[in-house]
Amino acid sequence: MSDRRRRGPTGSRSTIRKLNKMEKATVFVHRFDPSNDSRPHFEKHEVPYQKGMRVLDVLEHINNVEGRGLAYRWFCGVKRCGLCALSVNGKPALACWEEAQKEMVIEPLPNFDVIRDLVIDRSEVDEALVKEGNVLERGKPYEGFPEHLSHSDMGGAYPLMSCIDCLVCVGACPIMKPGVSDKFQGPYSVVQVAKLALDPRDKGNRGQELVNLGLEDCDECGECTKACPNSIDILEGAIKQSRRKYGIGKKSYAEEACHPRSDEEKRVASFMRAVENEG
Amino acid sequence: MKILETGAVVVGGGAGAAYAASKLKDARIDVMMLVKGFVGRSGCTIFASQLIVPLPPEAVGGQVRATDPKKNLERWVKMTYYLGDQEGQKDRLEFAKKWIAEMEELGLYVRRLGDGKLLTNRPEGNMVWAPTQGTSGRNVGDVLRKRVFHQGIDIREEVMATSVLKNKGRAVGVTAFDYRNGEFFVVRAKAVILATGIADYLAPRSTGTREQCANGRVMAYRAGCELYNLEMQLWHVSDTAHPAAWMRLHNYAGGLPDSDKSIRLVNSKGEVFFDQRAMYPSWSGSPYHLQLRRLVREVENGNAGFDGGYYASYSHLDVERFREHSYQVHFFEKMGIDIGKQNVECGITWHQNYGGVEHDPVTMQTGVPGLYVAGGVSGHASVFAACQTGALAAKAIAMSPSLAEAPELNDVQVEAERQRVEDLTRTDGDGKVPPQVKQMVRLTMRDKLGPVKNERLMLEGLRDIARIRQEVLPKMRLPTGTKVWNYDLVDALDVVDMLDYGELMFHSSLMRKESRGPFYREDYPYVDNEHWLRRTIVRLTDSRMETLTREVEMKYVRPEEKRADWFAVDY
Repeated sequence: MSDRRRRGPTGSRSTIRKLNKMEKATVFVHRFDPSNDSRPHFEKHEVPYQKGMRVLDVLEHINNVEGRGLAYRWFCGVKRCGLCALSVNGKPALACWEEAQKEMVIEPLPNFDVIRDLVIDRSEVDEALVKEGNVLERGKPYEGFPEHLSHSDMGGAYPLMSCIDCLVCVGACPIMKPGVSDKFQGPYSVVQVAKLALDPRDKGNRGQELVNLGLEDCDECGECTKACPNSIDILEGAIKQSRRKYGIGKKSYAEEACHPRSDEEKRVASFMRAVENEG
Repeated sequence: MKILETGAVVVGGGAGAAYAASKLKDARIDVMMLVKGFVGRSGCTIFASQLIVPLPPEAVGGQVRATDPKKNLERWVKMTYYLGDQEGQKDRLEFAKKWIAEMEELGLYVRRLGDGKLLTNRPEGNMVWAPTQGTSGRNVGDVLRKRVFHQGIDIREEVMATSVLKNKGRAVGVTAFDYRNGEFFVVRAKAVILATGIADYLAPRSTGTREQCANGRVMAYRAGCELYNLEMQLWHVSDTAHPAAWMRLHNYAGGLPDSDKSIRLVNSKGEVFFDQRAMYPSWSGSPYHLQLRRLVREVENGNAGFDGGYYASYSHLDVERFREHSYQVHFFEKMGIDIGKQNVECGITWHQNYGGVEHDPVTMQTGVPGLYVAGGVSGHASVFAACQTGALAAKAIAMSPSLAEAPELNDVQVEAERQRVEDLTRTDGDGKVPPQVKQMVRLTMRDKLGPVKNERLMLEGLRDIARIRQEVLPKMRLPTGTKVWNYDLVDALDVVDMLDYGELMFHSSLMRKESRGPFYREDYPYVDNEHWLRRTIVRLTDSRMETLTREVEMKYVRPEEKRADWFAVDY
């Protein structure tokens, strides 16, 4: 077989020619190294753009081709690891799932401390769940495989199994903004506990866990459902179901404390941040 | 420099690593996990689509054919192309029955139908999904992640192990780099388990996740272990071609949930060139090497390219029923593709390796006392095989008398490794940065060790590796010297490992003068069972690479033909 046929149409030289002919996307990327920088700034890039490419493709170009040393997390590229969450034009999203646009501001996922550039500190949310247990507690001994169970028995637990722990819902949650609630661990934690609470095999004290995770402070605005990359109806399927099951109340807020901004407001705010802080 | 102490240190975070750590903890052994990514969230475990385990026929939905244990074993041995350990395969299938029960007991939901029967493929009835095609491995990873955290195991994520430490010929711990904090440290341990996975990101399109760069294999080699069959490396054929980020989006070509059909691959002329159900009805596992054969023919005939120009077709399926059971469908919909009417363009990806670190199949100990392997790094594919090998390693360690001894470090070795890592932190000069050098290595592996190999290309590949080492590596620099989450230093360490491993792969490939399974040499295009029912081995002897081969015992099953055209056989 000839080398040309063996290599196929994307040998490195033909790729570079293609990249140079392609349209460009203008991208502002949040940069912040707490060991070197007094404050965050934005770096501007012109990146080859092709319809259908993902935000992750843009980040990979900035690092692998331009060599910019940008810090960002990803492992799988196909919405399994749940570790590439960030913000695109003000909207919390997964880098691997979100389609790239011709003008973008890419920032870390909101509501989390930033470790560096686009990498956030997930530890508080992860540790809060570990502290509550977060494992199936069977009420009676396991009977052996396969146990007696029908699909309908799994009920509301089944849709919650699509959760990949990406925390995009936490990034979208207005209650998770600093200063609003010091108790709520975010919609993700509710999903994880509700997945057990609604599992017919589980007999754990999930009501108390949900109280410990601050479910009372959820305002039911629905931003989590809107943001979920796996289209989980977090509000109905986890939050309201849990409230009903365990009789957990709902705290009142002054409207300004948690009113979610529109997508356009978030997009404009992100561009203003980028332009004002371009490094 | 920080020195931590533990009984057993497990390097890795997938199914094999987590299962081994969990069993060690159950046995009251002090255990620490060092995970380059996140437990249960990175590595190839998360891509496992279905779980192929022996199932009680009365529990599966639909009409399935009875399982013949002898045929089952033959199928599993064929999946190793007759080079696997046959006794181990037999034990593995027995373990799988207990394993699926254990996973369900921990909370894994294995998809049921409305009547309570297990959702399965037809007519074999040997696959289940937990709960959808494309998510089973991810959910096994989740169950095991929760288990090891619940057990209170000392788990350190975003930490890269960089070398195995030895003293007086035995493993006494590892060195590690915590890239969140930029800290190099040592773990002193009475036993080390390497469980770093089966697939590696060694070509521009690969199934290995970001962090999988053959590190565990190279650590084992440098410690004195033998590596076997490195040339038996698969290519996924039906991975999605676009966008680039979705290279790991697989169009599963084997058994489908609640169906007796399989997807089809069509060439650029619209002709079907692969359909497992129609063309290989007795094959029920993953058909990657069979797809590859057919694709090579299409590329030879100009009807497809390895990077595109062929397509996965779903339109002959009951698409609505498929949609209910498939995670992948969301991606196609996101791209605006209606799989009931349109096809999905595919390209090949560098996939898992059916070789790895040589070991005792009963204890999983390598040739280095105190150093064990578990899961894919030992060459064993499948999620339950990863767990089984993890359990074997944990059991052997728990029963090992060496746990009573306090390991002593070799300070010279520790300092040498610290210096090696330090030397990679330079930021001056105009050299390439590590992600750019990684891409150079990946292009070399793709172009010189692609699906169609020959001696000329492989020798060129060795020269390319040498050139990168001699000309590019000395000037490689980091874009930033920060100690905070500096993944570029991880990339730099990966570059060195990828170069070493790439070189070993070329040598292993040159050794095997035949074609077999996924390994196709156009200069030796036949399967040679007379001379090559053997493993290739590479190892360090007196600090130099040595190559040799070793016969494989055909304990229960052996191929009938002595020699055959690679395109004609199904293994």
